[in-house]
Amino acid sequence: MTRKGNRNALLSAIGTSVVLTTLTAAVPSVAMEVKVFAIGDFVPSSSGGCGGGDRGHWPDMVDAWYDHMAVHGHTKDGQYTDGSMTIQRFCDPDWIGGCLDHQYADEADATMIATHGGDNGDHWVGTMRYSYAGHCGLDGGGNAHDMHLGDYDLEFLHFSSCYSADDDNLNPAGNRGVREAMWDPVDSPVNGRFAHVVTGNHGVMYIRGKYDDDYEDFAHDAHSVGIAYSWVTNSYHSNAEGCEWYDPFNWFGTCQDICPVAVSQGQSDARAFNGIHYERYNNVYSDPSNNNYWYWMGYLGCDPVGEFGFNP
Amino acid sequence: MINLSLPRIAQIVFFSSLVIGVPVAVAEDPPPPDDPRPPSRDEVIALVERALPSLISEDNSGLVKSLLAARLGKPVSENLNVVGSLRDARVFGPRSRPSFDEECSRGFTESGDPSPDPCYARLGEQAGKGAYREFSWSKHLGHGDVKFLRRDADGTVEPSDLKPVSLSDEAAYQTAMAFVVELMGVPPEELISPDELPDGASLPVRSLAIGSVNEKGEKSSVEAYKMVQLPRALKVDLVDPASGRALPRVPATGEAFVLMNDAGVWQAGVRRWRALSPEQVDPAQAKTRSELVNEIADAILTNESYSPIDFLGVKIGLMAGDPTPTQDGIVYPMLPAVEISAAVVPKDLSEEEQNRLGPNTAGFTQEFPLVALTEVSSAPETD
Repeated sequence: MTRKGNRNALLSAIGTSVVLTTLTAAVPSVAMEVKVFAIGDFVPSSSGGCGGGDRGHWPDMVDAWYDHMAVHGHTKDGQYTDGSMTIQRFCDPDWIGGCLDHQYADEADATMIATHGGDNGDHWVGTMRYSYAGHCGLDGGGNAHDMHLGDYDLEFLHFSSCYSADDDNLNPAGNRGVREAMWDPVDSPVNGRFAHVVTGNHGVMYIRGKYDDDYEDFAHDAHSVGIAYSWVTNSYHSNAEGCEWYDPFNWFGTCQDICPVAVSQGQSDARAFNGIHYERYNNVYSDPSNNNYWYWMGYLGCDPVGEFGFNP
Repeated sequence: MINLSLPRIAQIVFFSSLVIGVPVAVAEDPPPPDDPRPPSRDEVIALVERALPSLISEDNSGLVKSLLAARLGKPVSENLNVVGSLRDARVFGPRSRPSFDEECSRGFTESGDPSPDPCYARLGEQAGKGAYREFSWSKHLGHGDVKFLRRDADGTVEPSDLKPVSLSDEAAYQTAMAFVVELMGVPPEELISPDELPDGASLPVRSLAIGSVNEKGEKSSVEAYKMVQLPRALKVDLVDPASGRALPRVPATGEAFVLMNDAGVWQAGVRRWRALSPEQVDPAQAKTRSELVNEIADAILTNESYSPIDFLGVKIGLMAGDPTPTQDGIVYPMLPAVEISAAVVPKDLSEEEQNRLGPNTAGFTQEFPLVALTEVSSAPETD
């Protein structure tokens, strides 16, 4: 069949076929507030900033998620790009005065954070543009107390950042690992507010134009299948980067992967499982009442730059 | 005069700081380290020279011709039978009654351009807690996007129901190939057959696992799905004269994935499997190696003028230019290109090395056409 013929047949099918019942448009169930924080233009230490190599396309990449959330009826509630990005927007006022997470990262239902990240012991640390109160790095999870989200509003925390969900930081000895950023040990037990799902990366991720589609599709698909599934399918790239010229498909083992990971938490095994398996942007459960139980989702053996294979 | 003792002053400072929001009593981070010495242009050029094979020479017209001769299969637009796919039991089923987005019948934007958007067919309600399936395809299939999503109703699966997938990697790969070829319009000639792989090469199949740690601290995980990623891989005849290494296939714009377990396929996507036209590029316009090296070095320094580059990855292949509307749909110029991925971080780092590294880590990737672009071949898509 020719292209034209195929297209005509399809339009005919859509218009009159026996398979057709109704024409519907996707309608969001409950609109959420979404925010995105992204740094593409990092400020060298010699210019009074926190350092880091520029990645000019990064804000556009995560903007694809932000824009598409609005297509699904959610409210664009803040797009923060470069500017005076400091830890103040992400840190909890129980940690130090002046922290304003309740006006920024925690004052949304879904937040995306895009910046350089590293592995700082048992947790992720993200680079800011400028220092605040002597802190250039935003430490989140593990034994760090900078970042405790979910006690104000946040349900879904998304990192577009290297090392934001390293296998060894999911469940380190002595703390809740990445989940420490998904609650506030001071306020959450009192007000019963906890984040639900966090998504991030094991090892290093890459910035490139075509990965914009990952973020747009992540936003779309997370209305049809679980947020965790949507993240790990759309952000996973096997053998995508770092290949030698003679090995574009990794037949000789020279390529590296991009390795997405998702984590849920709950007061029971069932609640945590429902978070990782079912919860969507248009099917949001009530907050967990504690975070004693949790699940992770990721690709075993996934081998990114800067890390060994995923093996939590 | 008020006499303030030091402890009293400290109290005032402390409480004032709470009121006016000045931070207190948490140790500061060490100051940011001095900026690293940025890579010099000469260093980056040397890095690029080392990464590129001698296949890329001062006269690349032959290389461009060879790449333009890559064997294309029929485009997705000619292979995909949407009605047939929807009726297939692996998608919706023969007696299913899906609904279609009202946007499906609008093939053009308000400005008259071919719509880049997909059409959605749905079985069930996207919102809510019920089971649901969704199949979508580019309204103009030259764009090459097709997707299938499926979920259970909430509560269908309990943690104890999670079972390890029993499919072997080989079976998963065959299942994935069949799904994208038979139901999503991918031409089989553009996929790598398992029997083409050299000895010791592994299939691009991974297990997607779901895991936890119980109250006793005992770890458990279930390899619940197989994930197969299928790159678009076009057959070519290329040999590097210096090393004698051959490139039997090169990557082209387009990738597919299939997520499955023993209960069938749950998600599948074909992305950017563009309808490519090799006729809009003039091999005589091929860039020289030195032109390409300089262009790549400039781009790297634009992105990374801060840290030294640790290593570069290189792929020689085919990218897509800007789409051109045709009488039958849409087509993209096929552009021979080199893709460069740059990392400031080594491939493998121990935990101790990661801690020392600090956060300046994301890699970046960019494609560079091997030909000087004309209005006909047009600017490349953002890669």
